[in-house]
Amino acid sequence: MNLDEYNISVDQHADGMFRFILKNIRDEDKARDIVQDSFEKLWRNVENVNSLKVKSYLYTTAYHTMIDLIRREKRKEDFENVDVRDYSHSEHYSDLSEILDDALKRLSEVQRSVILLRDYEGYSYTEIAKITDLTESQVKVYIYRARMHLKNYIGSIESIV
Amino acid sequence: MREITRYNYEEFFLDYLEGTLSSLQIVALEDFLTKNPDLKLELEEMECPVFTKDCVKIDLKSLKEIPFRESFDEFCIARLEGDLSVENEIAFDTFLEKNKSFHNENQIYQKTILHADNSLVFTDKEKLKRSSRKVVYWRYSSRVGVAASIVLLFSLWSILYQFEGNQSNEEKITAKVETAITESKETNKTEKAIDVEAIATPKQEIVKPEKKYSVEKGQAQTTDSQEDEKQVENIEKVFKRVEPVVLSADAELIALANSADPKIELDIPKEENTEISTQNNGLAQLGMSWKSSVPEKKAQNSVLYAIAKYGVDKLGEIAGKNVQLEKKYDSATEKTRLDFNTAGIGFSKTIK
Repeated sequence: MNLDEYNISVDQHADGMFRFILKNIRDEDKARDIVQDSFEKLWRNVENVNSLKVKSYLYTTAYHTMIDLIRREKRKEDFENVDVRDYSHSEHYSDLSEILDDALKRLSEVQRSVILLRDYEGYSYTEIAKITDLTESQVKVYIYRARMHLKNYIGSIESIV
Repeated sequence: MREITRYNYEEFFLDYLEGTLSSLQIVALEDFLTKNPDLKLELEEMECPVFTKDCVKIDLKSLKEIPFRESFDEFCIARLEGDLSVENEIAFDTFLEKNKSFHNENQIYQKTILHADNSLVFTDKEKLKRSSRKVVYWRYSSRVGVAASIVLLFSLWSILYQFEGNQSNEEKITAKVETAITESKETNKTEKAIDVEAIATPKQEIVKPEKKYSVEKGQAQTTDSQEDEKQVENIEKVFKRVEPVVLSADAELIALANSADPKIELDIPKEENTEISTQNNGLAQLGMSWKSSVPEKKAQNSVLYAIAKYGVDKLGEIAGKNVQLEKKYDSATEKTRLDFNTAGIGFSKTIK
């Protein structure tokens, strides 16, 4: 990978990575730091990274940095431990994206990551498995559970509204 | 004919059920069953019914039906993820059209697809971009830098070595003997202290220059009285206390001109020899002296080696490359070599 390819990768992937991390950790500064760190690591290994695999490299690096950060801060919240009936409906959702955004917050970090990689970036099960260090079957199961939770959340909100 | 026992009856049962037993074997089997009535039940259980085509009635229509109702969630998600085959997708869509309630539920699943908010952008992209390949240049230059540093270190080392080499390689025997005596004093306080310094130093008074002792013979070659004999004993004690291990490990005995063997060639400059003979008067009179094979500079070299190794390790760490600096002793050539190895560069230097 050369200098030009590196700079192109910044244009192509910085925004997507930033959105992916931001949706996961909901902290703009930290998301920015993680993106910067990931590109810094890419630059240090620029000679060894294939330009065709740069996206995967960046997302893998960003994902692992983010997981380390989350674990450090112990901000783990498992959706499975949350009772749907306990959701606060005092909020007034203006559209579906807000409901989904709220539902996304309640997913476990792994479920959230895999579904974001799937929907935002259109990664295949195999690619997600590589990025997240999971097996393909595990990715399928996490996506299945995440969809179920999102559907239940949306369903419960819609029924109340 | 083999006898039927409780250990082999199964094969006879199977042969019986398949009708391959001879008449004699059948009689034997019946006799066995009479004697073992508990196995009769087992034989009956082994009789499998034979299915005929007429017995089996399969509802082909029900088999063709995909269990959309039973596994509705799985099919909804699989449809959403694009995991269904084309045939199954068509069948599932048809099923949804016919069942309104399932259709509505599937609609909720469709809403779970997340859409990226493109208004969220990373604003500092320009900061992430690079204008030159400093890292790459640095890496190339770092290799040269590492090599240059090593050469410099070696040069410095060699200079220091030569500088120190001009100084006497020989240690004063006094220092060694003093150490040994001090140690012996510490270990055995009850033992009478011996004034070794007086023996070893040129200013000694007890051992006079004209008095010669032969340690090898173990006898004092002196014309003096008992006092001199006592001194000889003391000297012998001193030599006993100086541990042979210490001497052999740290020192190399060299015969001087006044030793018994005149053939031994001394590799010592005359000036130094004179100095030793004057300073190491005690041992010289015994016909012995010694030159240290572990001069002080060796310790200094070790320090230099440690500094060099540390520097090389650090440089390797900074360069992100495996750089090695090793000191190896080759027992075959009895030489110590310094080896420097890294990617593309490697050289070795013998140390005296």
